[in-house]
Amino acid sequence: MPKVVDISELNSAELIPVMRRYYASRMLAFRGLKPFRLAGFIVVPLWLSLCFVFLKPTIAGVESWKLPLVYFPHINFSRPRVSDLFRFLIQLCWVIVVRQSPPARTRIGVDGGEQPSDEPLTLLWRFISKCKALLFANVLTRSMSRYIQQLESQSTSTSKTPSKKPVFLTALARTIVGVLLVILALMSFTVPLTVEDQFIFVSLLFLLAYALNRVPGHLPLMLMVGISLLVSGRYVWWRCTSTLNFDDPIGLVFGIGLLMAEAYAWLVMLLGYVQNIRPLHRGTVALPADSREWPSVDIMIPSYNEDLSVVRATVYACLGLDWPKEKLHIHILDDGKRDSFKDFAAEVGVGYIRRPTNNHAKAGNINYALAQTSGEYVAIFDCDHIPTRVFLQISMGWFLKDPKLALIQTPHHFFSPDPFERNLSNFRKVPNEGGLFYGLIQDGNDLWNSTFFCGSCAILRRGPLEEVGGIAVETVTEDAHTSLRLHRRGYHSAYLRAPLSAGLATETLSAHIGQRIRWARGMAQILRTDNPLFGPGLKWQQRLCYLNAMLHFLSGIPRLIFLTAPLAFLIFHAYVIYAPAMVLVLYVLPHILHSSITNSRMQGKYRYSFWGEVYEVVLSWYIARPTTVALFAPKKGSFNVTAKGGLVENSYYDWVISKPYMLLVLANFIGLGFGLYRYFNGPENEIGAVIVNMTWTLYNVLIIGSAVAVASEMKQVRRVHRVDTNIPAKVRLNSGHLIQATVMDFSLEGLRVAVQDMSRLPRGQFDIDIILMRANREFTFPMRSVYTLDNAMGLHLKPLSTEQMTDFVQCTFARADTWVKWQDSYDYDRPMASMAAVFRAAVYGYRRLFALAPRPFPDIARWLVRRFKYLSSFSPRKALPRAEQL
Amino acid sequence: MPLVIISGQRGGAGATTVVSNLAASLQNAGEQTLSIDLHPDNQLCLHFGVSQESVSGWAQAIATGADWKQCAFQASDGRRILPFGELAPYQFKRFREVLMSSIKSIADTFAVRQDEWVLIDMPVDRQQALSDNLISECYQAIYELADFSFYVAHPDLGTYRLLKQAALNGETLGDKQLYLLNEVDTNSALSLDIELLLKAEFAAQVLPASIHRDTAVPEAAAYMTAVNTYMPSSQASSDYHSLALWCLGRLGEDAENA
Repeated sequence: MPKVVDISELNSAELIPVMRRYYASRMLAFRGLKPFRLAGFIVVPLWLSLCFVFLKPTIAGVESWKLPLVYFPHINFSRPRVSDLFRFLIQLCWVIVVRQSPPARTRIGVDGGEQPSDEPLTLLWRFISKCKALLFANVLTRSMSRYIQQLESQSTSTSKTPSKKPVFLTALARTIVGVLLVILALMSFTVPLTVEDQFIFVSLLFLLAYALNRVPGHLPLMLMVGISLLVSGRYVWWRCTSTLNFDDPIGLVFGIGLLMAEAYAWLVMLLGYVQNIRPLHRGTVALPADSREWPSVDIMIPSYNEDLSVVRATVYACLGLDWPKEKLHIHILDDGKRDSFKDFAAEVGVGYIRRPTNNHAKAGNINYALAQTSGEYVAIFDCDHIPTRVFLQISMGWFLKDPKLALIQTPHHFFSPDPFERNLSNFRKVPNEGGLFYGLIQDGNDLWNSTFFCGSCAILRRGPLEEVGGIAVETVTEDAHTSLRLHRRGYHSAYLRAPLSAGLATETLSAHIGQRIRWARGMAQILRTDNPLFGPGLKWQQRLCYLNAMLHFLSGIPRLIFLTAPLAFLIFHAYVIYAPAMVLVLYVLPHILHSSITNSRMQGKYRYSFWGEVYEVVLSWYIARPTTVALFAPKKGSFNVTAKGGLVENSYYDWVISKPYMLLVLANFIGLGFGLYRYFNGPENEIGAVIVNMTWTLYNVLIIGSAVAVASEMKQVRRVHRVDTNIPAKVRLNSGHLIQATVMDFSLEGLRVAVQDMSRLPRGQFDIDIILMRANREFTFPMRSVYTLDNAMGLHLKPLSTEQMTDFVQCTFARADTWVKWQDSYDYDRPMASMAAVFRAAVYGYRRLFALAPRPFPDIARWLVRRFKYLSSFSPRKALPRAEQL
Repeated sequence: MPLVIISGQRGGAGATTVVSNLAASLQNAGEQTLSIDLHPDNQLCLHFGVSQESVSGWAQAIATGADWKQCAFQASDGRRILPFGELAPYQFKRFREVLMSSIKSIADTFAVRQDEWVLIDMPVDRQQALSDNLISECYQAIYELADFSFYVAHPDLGTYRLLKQAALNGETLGDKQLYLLNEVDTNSALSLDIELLLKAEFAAQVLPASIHRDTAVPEAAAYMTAVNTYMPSSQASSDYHSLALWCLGRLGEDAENA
C-alpha cells in the first residue's frame, strides 16, 4: 500500500556509523582484484581523511576523493609498491605540466582565418597555436585560400552553361596551353639548383602544399597534384642524371634496378593521379512508374565447388529481389555437376543449368548459360554474393536512360573480415584492401567511362555481351578483359558506388593470395595479348585507366627491390644512389612527402597511409613470379578457383606462406647490424649515408613486420559461416512473453541471440520464436535452442518453407542497413595515427614470430617484453575521468 | 502541462492498463505524472498498488463532502493516482448532484497544473458505461482541455471496419485524436497485417508506436505494478517506452519551446 514517506534526515548523533559508511564505500572503490596490503591500509584512509577534512567535495568536476583514481590510473593504491612512488611523481609532473583534456587546437577556418577556441590554453599550446596561426592564417595564405575558393565556385557555376566559343578554337587553345605546360614542366624538372636553392625551393613548395591541404574543395587537390608531380619530376630527373656511378659496376647494377623500380612507382603514381582526379559519384536513375515497361533480367549464379549452404543464401536473396516475377529468371550455373544443387533448384523453383564440359571455367560456364537463356539483361552474382532486394531497382535505371550502356558494376562488399582484417583484428576500423578500388578507383574510372567489370555484382546488357562473344575466355581475369572488349566497341560502362550486395571474404591468407595471383597473372596476360595502349576503339584516358590497373599488379618486383635496396649499401657497401646523403634527402624526402599527403587527401577515407605498402608487401613475393611468367609466356598456367567458406582448423602460423617475409626480416636485421657496425667504425663521410639507409631499412622492417602479422592465421571453427551483427529483435517464449533481444550473429542455419534477461528463459532445450524486423514489418521464425549461456543463446532454425527462408535471408543477409554505413563510417585518414597502427601491427607480428620460433627465441622475446612493460609502466598516462567516475 | 485522455475504442481494449504503463514510462523518463480515474469501476488504482480495501477517491470525496485533493496516492515508483473511489448506491445519487458544480473546479485545477503530466482514464462509451447523460456531458468538458486523446484499439477486423466506415462517412477525427494499437499479436499474421494496413491507410490517425501482446503486461497488473518495473526486459516495456518518448516529443517541454 503506497503512502507518502517522510525521508528522515541524517541523524547527527550517529557519527560512527556514518564515518564507517564513508570509509567502507570509498575504500571499496580503491580496491583492485586483490585485497589491500598493509601499506594500502595506511595510504588510502589517510588520503580519505585528508580529503574529508581539507578538500571541497568536487574538484574539476570529479568528486575529490576520486582524484587519485582519475589522475593516477596506473597505480594501485590498495597495494602500493616502492616503485609506485616514482610513478606517482612522474605522473604528478605530467598532470601539472600537460593539459589532460583533449587539446583545444587552433582551428584554421575555411577562409583561412583563425578561429579562436573558447577553452583556455596552457602555455605550450598557446605557443604551438601561435606558430600554426602564423604559418597558415597569415594574410598571404588567407587571401590565397579565399581566391582559390572563389575560382572554384566560379568554375563550377560556369561549367553548367555551354561555352559559346567555337569548338576548334577551344581545342586549339587547349593544345597550346598543354604544350606550354609540358615545356614549363620539363624546364622546372631539369633546372639545376644548388643545395641551398633546392632546400629553399622544396621548403616553400612544402609549405604551399601544406597550406593548400587546409583549403577544402577540388581545385586545391589538383594544385597539390601539380606540386607533387613537379617535385617528383625533379627527383626522377636528378636520379637519372646525377646519381648513377658508371665507375662502380656493382653499384651501377643495383642502382639501375632501383631506378627502374622507382620509375615504375612514379608511373603508377602519375597514372593514379589521372585516374582518381575527379571521382564521378554517379547517382541513380528512376525506373518508369509502370513496371510493365521494365526489362527482363536473367540472374546467373555460377558455382563450381562451393558448398550448397553458401549458394542457398544467394538464391533465397535473389528470390526476394523486387522485380516483376515473370521478368526475373534465376539460374544456378553448376559446373560441379552436383545433384544436390539440382534438387535444391527444383525445390525452390529456380533454373538449373549444367553443361557437358568444363572448359574455360567460370567464363565458359556463363557463356554456355547465355545460349540457354534469353533475358534482355544478365546479372551475375558469384554464389557467395548476396544481393539486397533493391539491387535491380536501383541499378537498372541507367540502362533505360543510356542505350549504349553495356555494363553496370557495383562494389563487392564483404560482411566478413578478409585475412588482413582478421589477422590484424582491424575489421571495420581500417579500410580494407578493396576499399580503395571500390571506393575511389572505380568511381574515378567511371569519369573516363572505363569502369571495369569485376565478375560479380554487375549487370550486363545481353546484346553487346553477345556481340563481343560473351565473357572473354582467353585470360584468367575474364571480367576485366570482357569490359575492355566492350569499351573497344564503344559501349559505355557505369559504376554505382552503393553496396547493393555483400558476400564472404576469402577465409585464409593463402586463398587470398591465390586469388590475387590469379588476378595478377590475368592482368599481365591482357597486357600481352590485348594491350590497352594499342588496338582500336579506346580513348586515351581509357587506355591509361586500364594500363594503371594492369601495372598495379606488376608491383611485385619493384616492391621487393624497395625492400632490399638499402641492404646493398649496408651489406655490400655499394652506392645504389651515388650522391651525398644531404642532397639525397633534399630530393627524395619532398618526393615521398608530397606524394604521401596528396594521396592521403585523395584516398582519405578509402585507404589509410602506409597500409597500401603493407598490402603490397604481403603480395609482392607471390605475384612477382607469376606476373613475370605471364608477361613473357601469356598462355602458360591454369585457372585456380578462389575457395571460400573454408575453415582454418587451428590458430596457426602459416610458416609456408610467411617464409619469404622471414627471409626479408632476416636480411633486414643483418643489414641493420652492418649499419650499426658502419656507423661506429666506418669513415666519417659515410655516416650520413648510413643513417639514411638505416632509416629506410627500419621502415622496411616495420612494413614487413605488419606483413608477418598478417600471416598469423586466427582460428575459425564453424562449418557455416556466421556473420557478426547487431540487429534488434524480439524473442517470444511459449508462455507468451515477448522479450527484447539482440541478434549477435547469424547464418543460414541459425542465430546467436543475446536476451536482456536470461533468467526468464526455460532450462535445457526449448522451442522459441524469433521476431525480426525489416522495413517496419515483423517476421516470426520458429527456432530451437542449441545452447544457453549467461549472456547469449544459440538457436537453430526449424524447417521453413521457401517463402519463409526468403524472408529470413531478407531479414538477415540481404538487409541493407547492416552495411549501409559502409565506407562512410571510416574517418578521414590521419597519417600519423595510421603510422602508429602499422607500428602496432608490426610489433604484434614480431611478437608472434618470436613466440612461435624455436626454443631460445620465445624466452628472449618474453624477457624483452617484460622489461619493456616494466619500463613503460613508469610512463605518464593520459588522465581523463571515465564516465562512471564523474 | 500536458493532459492526455485515454479511452478504449470499446470495452476490454486495455485503456486502463495503458494509462498505468504509460504513466510508469513517463515517470521513468523523468516526468511527474498524475493519473485520474474517471471510471466508476475504480479499476485503475489496482495498477498502482492501492489496496483493494481502499474506498477513497475523488468521486467518493465530492459525494461525501470531503476534500478530493486529499485522495491522491503515490506509488513506489513515483506515479501519482487519483482514484475514482468506491461509491455506494446511495452515494451515487449525491455524486450526480454535485458533479456538475465540482467538475468545473476539478478540471480547472488540472488545467493549470505545472510540471505534471495528467493522464485520464476515460470510460469507453460514455452513454452506456454510465447510463447517464448528465455525467457524460460533464466529462465532455474535460475533452476541451485535452492536448491529446488516445483511443486504444486492437488491430483486428472490427477496428479496421470502424475506421474505414468513419472515413467513408466523411467523419474526421480531430488532429489531436489518435488510435493506439494495443496487443499486436506477433503470432498472428492477420494481426500484423492489419497493423501494417492501419498504419499505412490511416497514417495520420494511428500512433506510430503500438503495443505488442505480451504476457508480462497482465502479470504486471496482477503484481499491482507497471510492466517496466515488473519486467524491464520485456517487449511491452520497450513499447511503452517508445510511446512515452513519442508523447514527450510531441508534448514535452522541449517540444513546446521549439
